[in-house]
Amino acid sequence: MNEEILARFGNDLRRAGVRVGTGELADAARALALVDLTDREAVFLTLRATLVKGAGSLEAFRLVFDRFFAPPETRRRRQEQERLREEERRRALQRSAEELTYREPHPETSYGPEEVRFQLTEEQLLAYAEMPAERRQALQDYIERSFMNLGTNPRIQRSVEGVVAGTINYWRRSGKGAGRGVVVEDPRESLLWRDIRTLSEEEFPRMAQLIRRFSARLGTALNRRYRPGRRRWRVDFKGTLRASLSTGGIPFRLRRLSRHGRRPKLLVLCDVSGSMVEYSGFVFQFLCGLAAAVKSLECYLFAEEVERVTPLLREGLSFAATLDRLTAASRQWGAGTDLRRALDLVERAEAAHFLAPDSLCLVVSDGKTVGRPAAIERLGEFARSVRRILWLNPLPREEWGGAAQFARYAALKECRNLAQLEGILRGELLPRHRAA
Amino acid sequence: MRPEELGAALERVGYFADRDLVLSLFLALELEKPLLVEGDPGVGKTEVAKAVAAVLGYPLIRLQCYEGLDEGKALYEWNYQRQLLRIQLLRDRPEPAAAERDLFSEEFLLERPLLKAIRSPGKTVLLIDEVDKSDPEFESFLFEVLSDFQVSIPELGTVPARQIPVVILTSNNERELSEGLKRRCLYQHLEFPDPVREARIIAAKAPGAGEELAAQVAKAAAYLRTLDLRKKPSVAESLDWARALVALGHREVSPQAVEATLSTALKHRADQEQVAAAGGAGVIARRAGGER
Repeated sequence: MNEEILARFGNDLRRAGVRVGTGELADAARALALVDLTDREAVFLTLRATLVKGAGSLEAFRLVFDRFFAPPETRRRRQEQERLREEERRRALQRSAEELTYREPHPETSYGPEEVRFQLTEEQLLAYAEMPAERRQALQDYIERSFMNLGTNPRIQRSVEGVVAGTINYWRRSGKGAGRGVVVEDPRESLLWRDIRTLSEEEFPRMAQLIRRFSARLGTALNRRYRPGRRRWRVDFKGTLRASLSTGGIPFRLRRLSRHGRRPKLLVLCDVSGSMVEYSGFVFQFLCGLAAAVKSLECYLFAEEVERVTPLLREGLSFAATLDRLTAASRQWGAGTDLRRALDLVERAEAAHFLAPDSLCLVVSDGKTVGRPAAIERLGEFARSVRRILWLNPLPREEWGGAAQFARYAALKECRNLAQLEGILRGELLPRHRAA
Repeated sequence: MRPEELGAALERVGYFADRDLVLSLFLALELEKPLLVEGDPGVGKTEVAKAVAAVLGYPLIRLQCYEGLDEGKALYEWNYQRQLLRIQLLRDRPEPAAAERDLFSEEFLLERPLLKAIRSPGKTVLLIDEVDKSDPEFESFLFEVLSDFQVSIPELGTVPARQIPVVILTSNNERELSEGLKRRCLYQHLEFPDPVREARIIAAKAPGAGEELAAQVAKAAAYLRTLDLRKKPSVAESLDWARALVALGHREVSPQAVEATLSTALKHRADQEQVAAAGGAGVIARRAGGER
C-alpha cells in the first residue's frame, strides 16, 4: 500500500481520537508487505493489530476503516448523502433565521429598524428547525407581539432575544431535540462520551464494567513513604546495619523497604432527591463499583434525611439485586434536598471514623438544595474534618447557577459522562497515575 | 510459516484460534515485535503463549506480574550472600580493585526471567503475564527490553539479546497501560470464543465428552456469559464443567445435570442467585439444547 494512503488513514484515525504515532504507521507498512493486499479482511486485521492499542479504540478504528476503504460506489453514494445533508442543513438554518426575524409592518411610519435579527448560534437555529410547527409558530407570535406592543428598542430586543434563546435551549436540553445535528457515526459518541442520563438499561453492564475498572484503580494508589516490607523496593540501610549486629557486623541479610498501598478512606454522599432521579442509574452503578473496589468506604444517600447504605452495598449482590433492595429500602427517593441537615446528620452518625484528616469525601449532587447559604457555611465546617471534598455534578457547568458557590469548600467537577468520570478519577484521586 | 499454517499448527497443539489472533501472532513473529493480548479473565490469553511455544518448539519463560514486582525479581539480582562469602575469603588479598571487579562478574549474577530470555542461546517465548497487575514504574522499566531487546546492568553494561525472543504480554485490562508500553507492542483483543469454537476446544480437551455434550456445554456457557455476572465462566471453567458432567455420567446438559455441576462454572453466590432468578437450571438446559 502506498505510504501516502497509509499516512492519510493514520491522520483520519487521529481525528477520530485513536492515538497513532509514526512508529505504528511504520510497523503497519512493514506488516502490510507480509499480507495479501487484495484480501480486505487481512488488511483490516493487519492494520488493527499494528495501529490500535486498546479495546476502547476498536470501534473507532472499524468506523474509520469502513469509511476510508469503502468501495468507490459506496464512497460516491456517501459523498452524495453528505452533500444532500449539508444542503438540507443550510436550508434549515436559512429558514429558521428567516422565521425568527421580525419585520416592521409599517416601516414608513416607524422610527425603529425595518427588521430585527437575533444573534443565535447554528445549534440553536437547527434546534429551532426541529421544533414542532405549533411551537415554532408560538415563538414567532411571541416575537411579533412583543415588538408590536413594546417597540423595537435595543433593551426590548435583548430581552426578547433572551427569551427566544432560552426557550430553544430548554427544548434542546429536554432531550427532545437530540435527533438532528448529531453525527450518528461519530466514534466519540461511544459509551464513554454519552450523557449519563441517556444510557439505557441494556448498557448498564458495560457501564458497570467501565466503572469497576476505574474504581479498581482507587485501590492501587501508593503512599509516598517507604516502610519495611516484603516487596523489596529499596535497601533499608539502617535496618540492614542493625540486623548485621547479630552476624558480627557483617550485613549478611539485606533489609528492604517498600511502598505500601494507600487504602483511601472514602465517604460518599449521594443526592437522591427529585432533581437527581434521572441520574440514579449512574449514581448506583458508581456506588456498586466503588463498593467492590474500595475497602474502607462509607456511603450515605441523602435528600431531606440521610440513609446509610454501606451494609447493603457490601452484601455482594448483583447490581440489579442491589438496586432493587436500595429502591425498596430508601424513603429518600424523589424528596427535596437539604444539604445542611444531611451534613449535620452524617457528622452525628459518623463522628470519628470517617471524618478524619486522611479521608476523602465524595459528594454526588446537582447542588440544588434549600437554604443554600447555610448549606455552604455548613460545608465549610464539614470540609475542615476531612482531607478534601470532591463534588461530582451531573449538570452541565453553565447550569450550575448558585451551586457553583460550593466551590469555596469543595472541588466541583462536571461529571456528565464516563469520560469525564475517568478524567476525575485519574487526575484527582490518583495523582501518581497522572505522573505516570 | 504462513498464517494458515500457523493456525493449523496451533490447532494441532490444542489451541483453536480465530483468524484475528492467528494474523496478529503471524505479524508479531515476522516483525519480531511483542504482542499485547488483552481481554477478560479466562478467554485464553496465557494459553496463547503456551501454544506458540509448543508450536515453535521454543522453551517458555514466564514472568508473572504482581503489584510491587521489581527488577530484582524480573531481571537480575546480585548473589549477595555469595559475594559476602567471597569477600571473606579474599580478605587478605593484595589487590582489592581486581577483587571488586571479580565480585561484579557474571558468576555472581542471578538471572531472573527477563535476563534469562535475553541471554538464552536459542530462541525462547517470553510470557509477561498480567502486566496490568504490575506498577507503572515497572512498565517503564520494560521499555528497553521490549523495544531494543537488551537490558542495562550498571555494573556489567548493556546485555543485548543473543536471539530475539517471541514476547507475549497479557493484560486483564484492570488498569490502563502506559502509551509507551502499548506503542512498543502489536495489539490483540481476545473475546470469549463463539460456541462452535468453544465446542471444538472442549471436545479436544475433555476426553469422553463427545461432540454433542461439548456443543451443549459451549452453548450453555455462551448463554451464562450474556448474563450480568460478577465473574463470567472462563473457557477453563467450561472445560471443568464438561469434565464434571462426564465424571458424573451425564450425557447431556439436562436440568438435573446443571443442578449438580453448575458450581464448577459459577464461583460467586451472587452469580448463582442471579442465574436462579433468570430461570435456573431449566433455562440453561433449554439454551444448551439438552432438554427436548
